[in-house]
Amino acid sequence: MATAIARVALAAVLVVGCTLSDCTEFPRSAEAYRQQATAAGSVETFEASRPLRDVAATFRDRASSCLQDLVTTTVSGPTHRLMMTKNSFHPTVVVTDRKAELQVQMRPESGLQLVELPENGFLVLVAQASALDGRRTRIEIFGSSFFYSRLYTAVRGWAAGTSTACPDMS
Amino acid sequence: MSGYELMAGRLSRRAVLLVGALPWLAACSTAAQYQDAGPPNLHLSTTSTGAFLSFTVVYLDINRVTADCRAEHVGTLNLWAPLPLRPPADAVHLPEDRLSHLVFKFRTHGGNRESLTSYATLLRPRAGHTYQAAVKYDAGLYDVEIREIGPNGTPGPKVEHRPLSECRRA
Repeated sequence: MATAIARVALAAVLVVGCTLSDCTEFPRSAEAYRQQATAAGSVETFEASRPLRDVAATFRDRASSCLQDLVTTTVSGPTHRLMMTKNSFHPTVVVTDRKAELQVQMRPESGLQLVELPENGFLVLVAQASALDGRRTRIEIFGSSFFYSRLYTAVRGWAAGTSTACPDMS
Repeated sequence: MSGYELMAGRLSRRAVLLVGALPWLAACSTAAQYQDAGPPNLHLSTTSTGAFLSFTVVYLDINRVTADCRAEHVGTLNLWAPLPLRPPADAVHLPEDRLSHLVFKFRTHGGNRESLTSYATLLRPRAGHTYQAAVKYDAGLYDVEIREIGPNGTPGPKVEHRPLSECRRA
C-alpha cells in the first residue's frame, strides 16, 4: 500500500514538474500570450457600441478597483487533507491613440515555486480594444473562458459597457 | 441493535447537526464588532445570491488610517449571512473628515471549499453628508458602489475607488 502511494506521488511530481518546467513554457509577454491563445482557439472577438476612450477609461477604473493589490485565498479538501491556495493579481492597462489593452497577471503566493515566474506572475487574460471609428470599438479577449470564467465574464461586461461588477477570483 | 449500529447512528446524527449548524458557524466571527455611537452616516444595503449548495457571507472590516498611511483595524460588521445570529448591519457611523479604510469581504462556503476575496477603498466622510453603499454578490461577481448624499438629501456623485496606496492624495 505504502509503495503504491509512493509510486503515485512520484508520478504526480514528474507530471507536474514536466508540465510546469520542461514541457510547457509560460508566455512572458502579452504578444506571446496572444499568439499562444490564438493558436489554442481561446479568443473571443466582438464589437462594442462605444468609443475607444470609454473602453479605455473603464479598463483603467475597473482594473484599479477590482484587481489592483488583490489577494485571494481558498481552502479546500477534506478536513484531514486541507489545501490552502493564495494568489495575488496584477493588472496593467496600456493605452495608445488607437488601442487599449488590459493584461491580468496572477502570482501564486505559495512557498514552493517550481518554475521561475515573471515578476508579477503569469498572464491569465489579455483584452485588446481597437477603435473601428469614433463610436465603435473592436474587442478581442485572449484567454481561457473555462479556467477564468468569472474574470472573462467581468472583462466582457467592462468592454461592452454592460457591467462594472468585479470578478471573484478566489 | 448492535453497538456498531448505535455508533453509526450517533455519528450520522452528529454529521446532520454539524451540517445544519454550518451557516451559523460561517456567520460567526471572532473579529471585534465595530462600535461607534455616532449618528449613522454610512447606510448599507447588501444582497448575496448563492449558487447550488454554496453561499457567500459578506462582512465589512473598518480600519482607521494613521498619519503614516497604515490601516489599523477598528472593528467588523456582518453585512449578510444566510442565517445570521444577529441582524446584519445596515447603517454605521464613520468619523467625519477623517480617512477610513473600508474592506468589504466576501467569504464563500460550499462543499469542502471555502474562499475569500475582498474589495477595499478609502472614504473620507464629509460633515453633513451621508453615504449610501450598495453591496451585491451574485454568481461569482460582486459590486460595491458608494454614493454621496447631500445635506438636503440630494443624491450626489459616485465616490471614486481609492486604494490605501493613494492615502496621501485622498
